[in-house]
Amino acid sequence: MSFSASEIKNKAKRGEIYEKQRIAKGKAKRQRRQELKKEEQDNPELREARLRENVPKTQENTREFDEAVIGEADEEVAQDEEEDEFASYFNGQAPKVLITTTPNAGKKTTSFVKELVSVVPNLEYVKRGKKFELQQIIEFCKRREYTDLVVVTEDHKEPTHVTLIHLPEGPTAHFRLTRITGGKEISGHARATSHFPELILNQFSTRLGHTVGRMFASLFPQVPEFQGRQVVTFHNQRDFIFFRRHRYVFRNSKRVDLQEIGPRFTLRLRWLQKGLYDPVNGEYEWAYKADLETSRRRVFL
Amino acid sequence: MRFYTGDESGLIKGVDIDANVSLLEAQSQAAKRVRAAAKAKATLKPNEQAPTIDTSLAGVNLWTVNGKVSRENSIDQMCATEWPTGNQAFAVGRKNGRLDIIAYDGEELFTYTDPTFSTKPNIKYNGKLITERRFVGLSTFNEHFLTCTNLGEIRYQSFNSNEATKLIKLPLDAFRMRTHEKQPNVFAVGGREQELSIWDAETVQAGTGLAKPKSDPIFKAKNVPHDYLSLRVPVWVTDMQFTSDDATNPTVAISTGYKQIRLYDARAQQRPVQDWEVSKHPIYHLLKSHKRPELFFADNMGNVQQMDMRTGQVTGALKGISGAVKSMALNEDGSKIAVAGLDRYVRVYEASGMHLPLHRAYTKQRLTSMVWDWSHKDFSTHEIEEQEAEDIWENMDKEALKPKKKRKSQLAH
Repeated sequence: MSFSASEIKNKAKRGEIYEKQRIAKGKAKRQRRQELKKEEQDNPELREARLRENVPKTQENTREFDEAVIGEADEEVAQDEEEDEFASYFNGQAPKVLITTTPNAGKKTTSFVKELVSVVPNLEYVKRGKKFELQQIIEFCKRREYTDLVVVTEDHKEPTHVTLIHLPEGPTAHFRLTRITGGKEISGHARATSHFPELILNQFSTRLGHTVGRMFASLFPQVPEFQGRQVVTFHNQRDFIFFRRHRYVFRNSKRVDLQEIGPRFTLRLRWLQKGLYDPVNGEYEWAYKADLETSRRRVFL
Repeated sequence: MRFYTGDESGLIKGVDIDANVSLLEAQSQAAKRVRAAAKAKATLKPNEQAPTIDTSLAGVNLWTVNGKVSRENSIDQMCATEWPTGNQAFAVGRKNGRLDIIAYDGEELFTYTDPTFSTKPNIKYNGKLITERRFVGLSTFNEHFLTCTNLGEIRYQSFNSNEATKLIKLPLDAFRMRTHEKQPNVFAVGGREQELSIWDAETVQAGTGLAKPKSDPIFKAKNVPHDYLSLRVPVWVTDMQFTSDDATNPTVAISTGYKQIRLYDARAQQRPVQDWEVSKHPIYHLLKSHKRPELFFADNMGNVQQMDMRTGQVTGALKGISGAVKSMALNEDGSKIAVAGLDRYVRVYEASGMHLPLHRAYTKQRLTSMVWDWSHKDFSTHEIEEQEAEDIWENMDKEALKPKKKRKSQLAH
């Protein structure tokens, strides 16, 4: 008969009894696990069954139910995506991307931007002057048939935000940039080449996530150069998008080795606006607001 | 409760929400379903197929009334109307200039393509370039439809003809046109640097072709006085709502893109009788409650707030909307408000008190318009029980209720 040690009023006695119970519990658990191990050694199917069913709850698999998660083979979504703002890219139009910063960018920002120029093939960097406003720059880019404009925002001498503007009329996404590490700061880093990289977009599950994923995809050339053995990864986990760039090599048919090229940074979507950059008057498809954070288990991408 | 939504892919969808299923309950049921399906998938034998998960909330039923996914046919304006045969229908104005009347069951009753949409405009106005034509207002009455484009072209045309009964050219850069609910021939127009003007479609005199109207509007608003720096206050009317039944001396509430809400009274003066700056962002949509002197206004970021028209105070806000709201509607008794917008949801909230979220429905498209179908009655549990009790009484054997005749033997003593 088990009773709760907490009902004993005498502290010394209570501690004694509780300690005894704790040891007994640990012993019982060890014994149970030993027996289980023995059973599973004899019968490997039991082990497989246990591994399959006894999956612990994590924040990822207890995610709050979201109807916006795209189910497998959703026809309507597929048809809509065939006609959306990125349809021209997925139908073969080559990307032409321009990157710039906010005016008076410092060393850290420009070195980050120059690394990005090595990541995205055919990315052009134009130093931002003080003559033209961003709205005018967007007009110039449209006239010269650029497909995307990337603006890196600097604050306190560090790059803090990235704004991705898809042209000619596409959505504008604004991200918070954190945890930037340049390639040189990564020990044992590989050297980049100018080959077109392969692209990995992980876990963009909702409709909003699809839009953001497609925005990233439309920066890179459609057909990668496999000879270059470079891969760029945008991995989304709980609304944090991790950017990594690796070089891979197949040692034999069973083993692949990875070497990170860098840079490394994390993005967090702040808002997605329909239409070109107009944060004051434009209509937002999704904007982060504090009252959207109703639970820890809720993510939007 | 039943809603019909129009979206950017040109689809009209019907949404049925069961008022008796609470949001929390539906969410927890759905979460259990997803977990169970994930577990079933994990414990699959190699040959079995993964079961399909029903990714919708309980109590929500969605169907497509009409349309195929096509961005060209995206719906800009939609309103409920009645077809001459008595069918309930929608009038729909699309991006490519097509005007359709589609019955509630999906049957296409009428279509007309506005010929002016085939040429792309390229007009410099107000310091910017207007490069597209779109509908900013649509209404039907008296077997005519009344449309307004952003270039100020008003078309009052009969269903039977290919030529407009009246074509009027109002100033460029119109942002919204709305008609009076009780008198749909009276409409209000406003836009960027275009003050509110109220016209009567039946009595206005049109010129030849597309020209300025020859008669005056019922009401033309005047700008507020210069501000404290003696600078002219810019004008950008984004939405208007008629606030009284009187159409000859209308009273109107407007929202502006400069975060203001203004009230006008045609009997009093041309300047607004009230001018309040209530928002932190440009206000794009306005709804007047038909039961109380309140306004609901929505901005470009998904903030929907409620304000009292008498005091100008903000009395509440709807929380949890992540994208811009494009359409709002109240239920018949004014106790619930539904919002639909670019975040692809139809959400229902309490219209007063704590403004709690009551229901939500995920439609897969960005919604541009929504109609709350008041004619669709759903019964509350109380009413269902009453109905069931009545049925029991109806079906009871009437003979059993008659008082039994006493036997002579029992009576005699």
